[in-house]
Amino acid sequence: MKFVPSWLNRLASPQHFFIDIKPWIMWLYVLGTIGLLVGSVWGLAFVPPERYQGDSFRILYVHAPIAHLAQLIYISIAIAGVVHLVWKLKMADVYMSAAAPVGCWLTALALVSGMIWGMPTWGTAWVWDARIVSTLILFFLYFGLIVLRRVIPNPARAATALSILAIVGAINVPIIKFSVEWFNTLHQPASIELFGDVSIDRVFLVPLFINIASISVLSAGIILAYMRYLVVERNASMTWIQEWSRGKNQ
Amino acid sequence: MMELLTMDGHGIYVWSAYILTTFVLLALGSYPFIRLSRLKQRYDEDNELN
Amino acid sequence: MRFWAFYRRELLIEFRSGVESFIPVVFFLLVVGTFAFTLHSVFTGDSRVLVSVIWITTLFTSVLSLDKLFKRDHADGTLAVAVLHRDAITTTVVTKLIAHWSVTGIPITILGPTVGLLSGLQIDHALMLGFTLLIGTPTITMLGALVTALLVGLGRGGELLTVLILPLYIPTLLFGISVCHLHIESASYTSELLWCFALLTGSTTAIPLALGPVLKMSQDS
Repeated sequence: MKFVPSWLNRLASPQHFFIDIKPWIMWLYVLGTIGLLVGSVWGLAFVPPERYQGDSFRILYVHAPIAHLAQLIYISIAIAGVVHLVWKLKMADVYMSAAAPVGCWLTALALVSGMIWGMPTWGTAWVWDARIVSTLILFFLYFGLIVLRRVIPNPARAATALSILAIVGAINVPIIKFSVEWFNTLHQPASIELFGDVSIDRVFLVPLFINIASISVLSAGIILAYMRYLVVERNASMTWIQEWSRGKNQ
Repeated sequence: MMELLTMDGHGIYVWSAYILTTFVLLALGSYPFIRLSRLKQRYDEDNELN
Repeated sequence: MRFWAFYRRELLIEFRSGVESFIPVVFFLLVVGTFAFTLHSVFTGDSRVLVSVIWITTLFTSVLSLDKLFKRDHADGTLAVAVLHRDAITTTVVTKLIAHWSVTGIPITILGPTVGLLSGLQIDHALMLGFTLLIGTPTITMLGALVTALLVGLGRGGELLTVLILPLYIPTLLFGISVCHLHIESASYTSELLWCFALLTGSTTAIPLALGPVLKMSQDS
């Protein structure tokens, strides 16, 4: 394992993870929150209204980063699944268990904020548009992961089952996106485009990128915090956890 | 200032989306810490019993 | 030789259970019949609806029959013995799946277009429906078997299985329906059909290899 940096190797052990990761969580939370505030205030107050949608396009700055991240987290869960199956790393399993609920909530949030955006722009909250349908299916995939984790009592088996379902799901995600898109173009040729053929001006893009970066940072913090909680819960019998709870170390 | 709130009649949609997002992110962000402190409390009680 | 012995055994067990083995077929007819009766006026205007209904009912029938795929073998210990043979487990499982497909997939492949014909589908459209079902049902069986294997011995099935499997079935369903719809509209359907074949080859080659370890894990715990 020479090619693995020593700090990464250290994080693979629950005890070291628990101690080392604590300051990082705080920094990720602070950085993400500040970035989100900057990006959102910029997007809400300083960007001119969009030509076709007026002011309602400002929902883009929360909707798009969250929808983007929801997909990213699912792929990352599948990668953790591969890591778990190949190297049997305990932390990969902890990551999957922590990231699935976060991803599920973000997907739900992306769907609801999209519905709110749909009301003024499309005149209806729900359209059976390709992107919406694939996000909805992504939500069901996340839900399946969470439920599967809950119904298997043996932790080792649950982790392996979760890895396999996540990998199969992740292989399916692009195919689902593709098939839904293809199927939809068959039936409604007039698909709704976000900005038409107008290229997006840089003025609109800067706050979007700030928000995408910040929400990624914040979610990383949230997932790490959740992982830290799971580490404590799953290693309750270990002496270092008992020492922690007696306050001997942080 | 008023313009920022109403946004040409789109304000209600824009602001409800932002408020909802803030609410969910706050809940998601604080949840692990609430669970962790409850867990610590429980361990502490167990330790006192022993 | 071993393959045929296994295959015969699986089919024998299936048919010895008598009237029970007809449940999936009756379920299929019942659901399609209910739709056909209640949506009759829509069907006569647009046969695409009928095709979609038959395809969707196929998925539900598949989930229903998957429930019992490994149940009996797990209960009587056959599975525990089978996973001990590292090399034989893949052959055993593949045989089992082929047998399962013979008693669920093939009847539906025949029944689907027949019901379609009786409800007013044109003969070439019905043949195309049968063809897409023929190459779609093995994919459905494979994906379903993988998820069922994850849940062996948990005493959970039914709606949990449905929630886990249905999202994974979406591509197979959409491409299968697309081919039929495009054929009905006399449009070109080559690329969609190629996608159906891609899903078929992908699932039938990769999933049997994964099934052995997954089943072994279910017996370990």
